[in-house]
Amino acid sequence: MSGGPASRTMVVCIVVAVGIAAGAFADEAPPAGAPHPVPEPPGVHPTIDEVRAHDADTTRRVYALGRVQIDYPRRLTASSGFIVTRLPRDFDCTTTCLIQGPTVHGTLGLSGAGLAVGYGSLVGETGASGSFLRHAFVGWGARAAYLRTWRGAWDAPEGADYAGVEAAATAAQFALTFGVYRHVGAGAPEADWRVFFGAGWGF
Amino acid sequence: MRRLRLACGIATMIAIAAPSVRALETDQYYAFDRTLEDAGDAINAEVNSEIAAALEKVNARGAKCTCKNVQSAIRRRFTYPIFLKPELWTTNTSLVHKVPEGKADELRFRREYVYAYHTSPLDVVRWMPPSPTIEVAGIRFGTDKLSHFFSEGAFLNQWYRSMVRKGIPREEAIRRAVLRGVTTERTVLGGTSSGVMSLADLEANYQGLLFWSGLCDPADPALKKTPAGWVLTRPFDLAPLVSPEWDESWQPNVYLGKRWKKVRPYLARFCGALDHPAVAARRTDYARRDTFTPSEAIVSGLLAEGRIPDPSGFTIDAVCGLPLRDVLHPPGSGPKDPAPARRTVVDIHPGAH
Repeated sequence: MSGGPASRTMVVCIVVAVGIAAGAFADEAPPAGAPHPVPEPPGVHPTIDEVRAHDADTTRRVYALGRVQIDYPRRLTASSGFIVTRLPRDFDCTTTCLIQGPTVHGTLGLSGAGLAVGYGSLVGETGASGSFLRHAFVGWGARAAYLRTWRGAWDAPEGADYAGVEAAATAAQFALTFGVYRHVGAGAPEADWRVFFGAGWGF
Repeated sequence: MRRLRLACGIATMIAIAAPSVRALETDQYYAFDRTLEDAGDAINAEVNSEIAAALEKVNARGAKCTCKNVQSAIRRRFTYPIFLKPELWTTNTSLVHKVPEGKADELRFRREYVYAYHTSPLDVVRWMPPSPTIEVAGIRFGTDKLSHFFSEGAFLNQWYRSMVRKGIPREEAIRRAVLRGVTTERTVLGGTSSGVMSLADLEANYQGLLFWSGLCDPADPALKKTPAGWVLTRPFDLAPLVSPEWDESWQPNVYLGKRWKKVRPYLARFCGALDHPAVAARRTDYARRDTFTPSEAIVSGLLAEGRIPDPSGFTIDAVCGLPLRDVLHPPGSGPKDPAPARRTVVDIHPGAH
């Protein structure tokens, strides 16, 4: 990646992704301290405060992600990466967990490769694997992405670099990605914007 | 051209996957003869905690809000696509006892639950995870009912309110809203996606309508504005809202297409468990508490019109050769028509029981 437009595009993409992530995080922590605006019957257990204290005992987790998809312009691609999150200590994601946090994806395909950094939110489970999110049942992601094409790319020149933002959604384990990219690097045409997309399995 | 072909391929994949997306299923038979501790207090505390958090946020903002705005803030607090946050919390927290419990049991459940029995991994019903069973006030149900309660109940309430605004009488508006919910369950949430139409889901939807409607009920709203800000005057309490109609081992699903052929032999495995003292006691208690609910009144209408098969044929009683139970209209539950025996949104408010 060389030249001003590429750097600017990447900076814009990262700012957008971080902004989305910040917005997603902003709704999480409930305010504490004052009496609750919900009355509690005497003698109930657990109380609101006990539940909050229980759930505030969190640990940081890193889960591996995977995705295989038909991709335009890179044809068939496989992605792997990870998501970093915090969850209550007793949450065992063998079955469905809500996992939200920063993500990193590396992608290798028949006609290209790429790297994406962003934020993801999904309901998934590890099954027996313990750390690999084998099933992503529903989720979305926003990423700043950089990709390079190789020989055979669909409707894109060989050896071209693209930087952009990508949105991803997964439902019932089916994944969709959709991104807007700018051709960057030495020799890139002025204002060459492309829409790339893909569909497959995973997150 | 290549892009067009790929886009068409993606659209086809979406069309295939879409019906299964919202079909969450559960299996109370797996937990049939196992002990469960009451989860009511923990779930109430979690839901009240989230409501309190929403109200604290609204109050801290200091802006003028209508009750509907506050209700929306509460709804947003619960919302996540398909899986609502109360369900996800209940499924994971150690504060709630559930079946399956623990990693090994969860993996076994995934392999052996009703829709894993003699089905292919390509079966759409297996593309989404099965929900564990919990118990509240002596009633067993899948955690998916919490998503139905908060999500579908909110949609039903929107429809109900919209019809009331158009001048439709309240009882009729409720009937039409519940009927829309039945249509949804017969299509995207069950029937056409998984071949499973859950009557228990319909009941949870209806109770969810009561909850959401009661928050801003003009006569006696549960949400009230005070000098200190918005407060919930009656805390959320799940116990009076659940009923035997939430338990899919009692309130059977209506199976469509070939699904019943696969489910029937699974149910037959539990005939022996009907003699288990805890199972027998629970079923006796259910028979005593069973009523003719408004959602059952709607389903009865569909049955009378021949639009769905009789659910009584899908009970474990039928599979095990016991006398058929009238699922929709149990003995002693009052007249079939016109009014259901159970109270409706007109006279029920959350927390008032």
